[in-house]
Amino acid sequence: MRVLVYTDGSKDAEQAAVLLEKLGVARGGEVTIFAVSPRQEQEDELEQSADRIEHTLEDDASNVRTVIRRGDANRQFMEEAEQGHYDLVIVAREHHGRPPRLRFRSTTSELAKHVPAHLLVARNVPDKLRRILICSAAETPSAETVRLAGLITAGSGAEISLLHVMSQVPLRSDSPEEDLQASAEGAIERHTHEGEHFEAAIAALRAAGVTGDIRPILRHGLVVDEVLDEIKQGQYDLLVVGSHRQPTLTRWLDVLLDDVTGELLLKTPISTLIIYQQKALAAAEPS
Amino acid sequence: MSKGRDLGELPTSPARAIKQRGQPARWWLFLISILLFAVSLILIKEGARPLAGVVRDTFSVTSPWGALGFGWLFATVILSGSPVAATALAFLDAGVLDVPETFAMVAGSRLGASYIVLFVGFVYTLRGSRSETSLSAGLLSLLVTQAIYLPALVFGFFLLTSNVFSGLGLSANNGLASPVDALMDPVLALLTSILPVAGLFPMGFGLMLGSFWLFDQALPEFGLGQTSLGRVNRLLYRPIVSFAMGAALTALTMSVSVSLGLLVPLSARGYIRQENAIPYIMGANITTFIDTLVAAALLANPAAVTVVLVQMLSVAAVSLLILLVGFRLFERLLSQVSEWILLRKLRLGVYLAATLVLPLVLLILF
Repeated sequence: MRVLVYTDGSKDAEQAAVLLEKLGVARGGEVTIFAVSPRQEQEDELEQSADRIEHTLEDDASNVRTVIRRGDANRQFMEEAEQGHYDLVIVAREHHGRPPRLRFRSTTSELAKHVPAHLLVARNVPDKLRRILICSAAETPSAETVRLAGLITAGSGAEISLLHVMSQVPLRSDSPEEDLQASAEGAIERHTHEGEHFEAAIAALRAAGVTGDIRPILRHGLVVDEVLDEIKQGQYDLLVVGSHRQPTLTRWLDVLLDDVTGELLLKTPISTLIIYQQKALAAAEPS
Repeated sequence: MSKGRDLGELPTSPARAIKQRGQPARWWLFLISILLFAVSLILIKEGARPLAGVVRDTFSVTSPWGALGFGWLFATVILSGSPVAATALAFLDAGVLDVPETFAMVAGSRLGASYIVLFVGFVYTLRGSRSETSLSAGLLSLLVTQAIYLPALVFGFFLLTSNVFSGLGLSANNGLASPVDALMDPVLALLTSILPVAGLFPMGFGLMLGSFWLFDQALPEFGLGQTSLGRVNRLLYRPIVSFAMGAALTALTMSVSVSLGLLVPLSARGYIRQENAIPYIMGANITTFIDTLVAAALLANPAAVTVVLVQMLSVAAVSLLILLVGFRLFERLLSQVSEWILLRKLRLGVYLAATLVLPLVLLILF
């Protein structure tokens, strides 16, 4: 696996490398530590940061290299992320300087929209990855998201919760109301659309190498609110969501659809892994 | 055009009927429905003149608040908003109501339009043949309408009482001859010679209900399943997109419930996501006035046209403000209120009682 880690010299950026190490996803892979120095005098600081990140990852990765460029940080990093054929790109969420909302919208959200790789945004990295929340839309593209999420998180040994949110209301008096009140267990038992999706997703996670507990959760309400509520209640360490860009979407539909991933990225207090479905992760496929 | 349809009964009637008709038949139905609508407007207008005393004294419609309550109750009783809104314009044209009262009665017609759907559903839940969940869409629709129309009413009154529309001429006595009047004079002369004056209003109103029914039958099949909208039950659209969809589809069907009903066949289980439904209803609530605008144009009354335009403008302004500034908060509040009401039968009962009592209070006190 080819991994790109960005550092701006901050401790947060180094925490992002710690998160990568905890996920164990760079094991045997190739890691590029990338930094952009706007001025000559900052280069030493960036080199030291890159050294510390290299030290964190050197036992895991088969090859770690550092690249420091000059110029505009956002543009340089975006170019490297887009053109470097990486499988996974890792950044820390910035929360210093300008108001976080503005900074975040301008960089991380842009990365999530444009980088052709899975994106890991580190935030409040815990000592140990105990609980991971994988969100699923219970539709065909989502099955691939779950499978790829399993491949990336299997090495962490964390307990996985698989969440689907039903925000639907019935328009017809004969609509099956039980489906709109069911728990995950009830949905699986009754083989509803959501229940069958849960069964398939759990099987996909197992096939991807997840050995820990997998807990399906079905919540009812507005999607973003329910995901944030689950994160708060379940004390998760990592949120996994599918990218807003999906292979089945036409460009037109892409414009029409709400960016739930971007909204979660903006509002969640924990690290977020955004799965980019067109990235097959061939190197990480179990034999 | 009928506005009081049960959301639970929407999917089949228009769609099935339309499938059985060819394009020319639909055009004929459309033309007949417009003709009937025009005749009914004239009959209501003529029949309304002697009713001024009844409206003013018996129903105590002596202020905009009273007119709001009157329109609200009237729409609740007849299960539909459009005929009440058109009647309000006929009352204005006949000099029974003034401009602010007409504006309030038109707004009231929307507030009462979908009440009965919820009430009947509630009775079913009391009998145990339905659960409260089945009422979610109906309740959400009513809550969205109430939440938007009350501030829109205030904004609309401000627009009407300010000088913004003074150039358009708010007088109902405009001196213009309605094209309908000219065409319908012989018909009216015939009917007035046969019918007593007291019979004109009920006959006109009955014809208007019939014209709305015919219009529904003339609607073409939209085939939304083949478009991007086909995934509306699963995907989450940007609020502004759902808003535009609601406005566009209701501009074609002229009914909130019929345009919502168009979405039913798109989902095997008849579901719609709340995130899509709320802005959709917001958009639909604006263009649902198109038939009322047609009625105003047929009456050739600038004041009536202004009333409808201000209604549409104020609802659009409030809706767009919410969409652009605080949609997530609005959506969350509505969802939570809806969930809270549906959690207990007693709460739903109290809400329904309050929604019925409030227009009565307006009518009695003002």
